[in-house]
Amino acid sequence: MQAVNWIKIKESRTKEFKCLTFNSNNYIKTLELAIKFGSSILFESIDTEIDPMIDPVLEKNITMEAGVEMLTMGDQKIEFNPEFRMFMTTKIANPNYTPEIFGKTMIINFSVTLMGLRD
Amino acid sequence: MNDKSKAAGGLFKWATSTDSCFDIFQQVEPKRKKAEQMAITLENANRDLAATEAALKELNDSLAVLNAEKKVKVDELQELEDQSNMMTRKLNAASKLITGLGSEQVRWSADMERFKVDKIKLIGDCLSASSFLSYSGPFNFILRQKMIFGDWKMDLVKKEIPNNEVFKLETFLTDEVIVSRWASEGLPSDELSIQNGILTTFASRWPLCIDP
Repeated sequence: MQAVNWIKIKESRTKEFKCLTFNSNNYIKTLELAIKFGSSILFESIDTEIDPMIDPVLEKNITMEAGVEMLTMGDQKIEFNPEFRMFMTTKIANPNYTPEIFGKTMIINFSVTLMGLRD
Repeated sequence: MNDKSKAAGGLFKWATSTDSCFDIFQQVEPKRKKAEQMAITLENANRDLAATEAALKELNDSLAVLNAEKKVKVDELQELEDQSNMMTRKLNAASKLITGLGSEQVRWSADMERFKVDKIKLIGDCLSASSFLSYSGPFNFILRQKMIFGDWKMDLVKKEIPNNEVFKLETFLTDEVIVSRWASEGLPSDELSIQNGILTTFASRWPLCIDP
């Protein structure tokens, strides 16, 4: 739980921060607003699957239009605020993600090893 | 005389009176003349006095002008003295600074030499850091150490890419301020956690944290 706690404190200190899951109601709408206004989003307890709806965000599908960064998401374009941050966490200790997910996201191993505990 | 002859008495009286009148006239005449002379002298003196007063007034006026000028000059002098004092202080401070910096010169020259060497070594360090940011996320601490400081380091040495012998991710990608801020936010300060912090904050892709 170390990473989740840290991200929660770190992000809520300075700006708007929301915890979501892929089961949250209308989470796409919340995500879109966060991208537009530059707040932070944490997707908690992700399973081995990532909702393909957020693929454009993961791939940073950004184009420049009239000096503004626009993110194409589905059939609409959203203004991309560079302050926007997205985090994902999983509770699975040894998840079996597909290579695509390894490519799209930065998988970080926060699990505490014996070495880490000794420090 | 009146007993003898009234007429002679009257004549005698007239004669004595005329005599005393002459005496008095003789006394008065020089005095009158003197008075006239004195009056003229007084007039002259008065004229002189007026002239002198006029001259005095003139001198007083010029004195006032000179006094005013003196005041201006004194003020100017004071100002110049102040300026001179300030300049002296500045000069002293400047010379102190120069002597102070003179001793720094040696250190700075040494620093510059070190930076020159570091600049070349940046190539290998940046390669290590960017490889760390791109690839080492999913692995645990032991594997990460083996990759970064074992295999990749060996490769850098083998390919003769300049790199720093004591390359540390914590100092290269973060500094103590950031690390202590993270610590205050609940991230432990061991090397693994700091590496994870670097990956979460600085990686170009969005982080997915394996956090059982």
